[in-house]
Amino acid sequence: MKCKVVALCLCILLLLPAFSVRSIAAENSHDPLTVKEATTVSTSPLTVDVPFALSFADATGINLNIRVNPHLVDTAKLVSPAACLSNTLYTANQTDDKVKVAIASASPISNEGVLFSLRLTLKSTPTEEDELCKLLQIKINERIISQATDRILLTGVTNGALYERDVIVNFNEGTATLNGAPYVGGTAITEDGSYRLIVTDLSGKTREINFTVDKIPDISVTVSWTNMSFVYSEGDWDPSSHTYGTGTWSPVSDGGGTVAVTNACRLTVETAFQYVEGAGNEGISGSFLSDGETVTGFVLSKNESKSVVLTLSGVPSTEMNQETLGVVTVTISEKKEG
Amino acid sequence: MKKLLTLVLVFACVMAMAVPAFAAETVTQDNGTASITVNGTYVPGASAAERVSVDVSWGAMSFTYTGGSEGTWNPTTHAFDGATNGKWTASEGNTITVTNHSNTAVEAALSFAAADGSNVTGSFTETSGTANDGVLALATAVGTEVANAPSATATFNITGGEISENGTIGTITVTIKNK
Amino acid sequence: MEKNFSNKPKWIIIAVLLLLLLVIVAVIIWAIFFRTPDIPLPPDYPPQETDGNQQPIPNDQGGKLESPTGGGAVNVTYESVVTVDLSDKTVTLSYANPSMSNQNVAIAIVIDDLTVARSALITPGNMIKSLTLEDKAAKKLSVGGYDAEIIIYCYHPETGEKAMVDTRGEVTVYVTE
Repeated sequence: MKCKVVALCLCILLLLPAFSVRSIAAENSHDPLTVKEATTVSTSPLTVDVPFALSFADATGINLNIRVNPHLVDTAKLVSPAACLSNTLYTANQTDDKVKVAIASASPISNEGVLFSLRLTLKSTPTEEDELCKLLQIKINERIISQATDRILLTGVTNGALYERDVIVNFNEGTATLNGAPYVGGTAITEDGSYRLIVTDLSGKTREINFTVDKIPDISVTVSWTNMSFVYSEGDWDPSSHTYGTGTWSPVSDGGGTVAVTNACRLTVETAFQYVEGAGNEGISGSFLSDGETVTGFVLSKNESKSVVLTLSGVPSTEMNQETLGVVTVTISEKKEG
Repeated sequence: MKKLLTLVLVFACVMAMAVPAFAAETVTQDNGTASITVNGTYVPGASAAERVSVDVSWGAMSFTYTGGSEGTWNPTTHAFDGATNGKWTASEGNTITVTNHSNTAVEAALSFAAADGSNVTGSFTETSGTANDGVLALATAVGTEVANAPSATATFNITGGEISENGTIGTITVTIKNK
Repeated sequence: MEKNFSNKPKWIIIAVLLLLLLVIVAVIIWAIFFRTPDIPLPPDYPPQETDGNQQPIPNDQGGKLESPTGGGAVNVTYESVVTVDLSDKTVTLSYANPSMSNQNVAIAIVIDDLTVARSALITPGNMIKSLTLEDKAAKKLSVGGYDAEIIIYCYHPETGEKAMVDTRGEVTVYVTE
């Protein structure tokens, strides 16, 4: 399984102060640290390699301070060192949620492209919203090249996203409020609505995420119906011909024969009603009345309800007792624009 | 206690008055459908309103009363010979026929009432195979052709009494009852 | 002597009152047991006037019923429900004398010995759906249902002579305000 997550690691060099970039550029004229797309190494346990690319020239000491998300990452270790590290001493030590990568060389080394990969063993399969790690600090030759001020890592939510399901947010440190009320990481957010999550880390720095929960599916229409049993009453007896006139079909119970349709989704829908005669009862037809008029369907806006009453006509050919006369089919479709 | 019981009963009545939906289904797909089966019941003639329609036909109902006679005076015996009683004879046409065109069985009860001041009596004899009880029993016309509608006939005869002049001797009443 | 004179008027009064009481009792007994019921007495030769409420029977079939010479034949068709509206004194019913009949008819709706309504002549091919409530019935009837009879009298269409045969049927009268 190739891990589909693209933004697994938000080791954000984008947050590097401009002067740091320029200073590196002035000294070395090389690209800053970037993180490549992770690749899956194994599925059991789920393990991914995250390549770190760092370009520099003539450095004898490089230190990277990385924070991993303890909700998702179990262990981390350095793998696939670049060729320039072959004669160097390099280590990667994980302490809780911090991974420190230290590279020391007797002679200056230079690099362009991937310097190493961080092999992360994960506790569960991450999604696109899950942040695995963040770069905290880069030192090259003991000079801090970059330092991230934002240490907060999140799982379960992306800024500006719309979710049609419950949302559970976890964060690696600090406290959080959800729309102003205290929020405990791991608590399910189930109600539809717009949310502002503000996480405050231990140093007082905050991170704000805005998202929306709207679990109403695209199409959700409830079709309900009352008793659909009918009884045939003969018409008036004509003594001059010894026959009954055309009779009528009536529901056996008050309010019977009614079909109600309620639109519970956000879309406007079209409903279509069809009555199909059953085998042996082809002479008995059905039509639908709404407010006294014959209809074949209607349009329903969000939260709108309408109903129709089935009326039958035709003379039964034989005596019957609760026999299937036919079937009413209600078809629901999204109303297309234009 | 009474108030509580009343409240409970009112609640039960209100719940009983509710007409809930028989069934429901949620459609969640575009072009999705819900199917509802429709049932029917038909018992021929069970619910039709009863309509009574009968043909009543009768003959001339003309009867002749011949008064009694003392007979002939016999001088020898000083008595009348050959005395006779009065008698009634019917002309043709002393029948009543009832034909049923109703969508229900009926009975036609026959009765005779003498005119005011008359002591004439009469009786009916059914001639169409039904029990001779003064009631013509007629089956329903449902399922029959008009020309073959259930029919019954009775003959009326004067059985007693006398008249001294021409006139109406009474009224025959045909009383129709649903069976 | 004075005593005899003072008792005489008293006795006379008592005697008169007793006599009056006897008369009242006699009248009551006669009214309950001996009074002749008020049943319709149709004339043998009714006025030759048709009922103003009669109307043609829609889709009336043609033809004539057969009857022996000198006799008659009618088709009797009626609905078993009759309604009485006390407020506007109308009786709603349905009686048809199809064109196959060879007699004119007149009908009456009767509850026991009380005539509720009666019609004038209904000629063959016509029906009647409304009659006027009789005054006596308007005073006696109250809201509810009554078992009643419809009586059909037949008359020769040319001579007007009443036929020897009457027909009666069962109806239910529903009285409303």
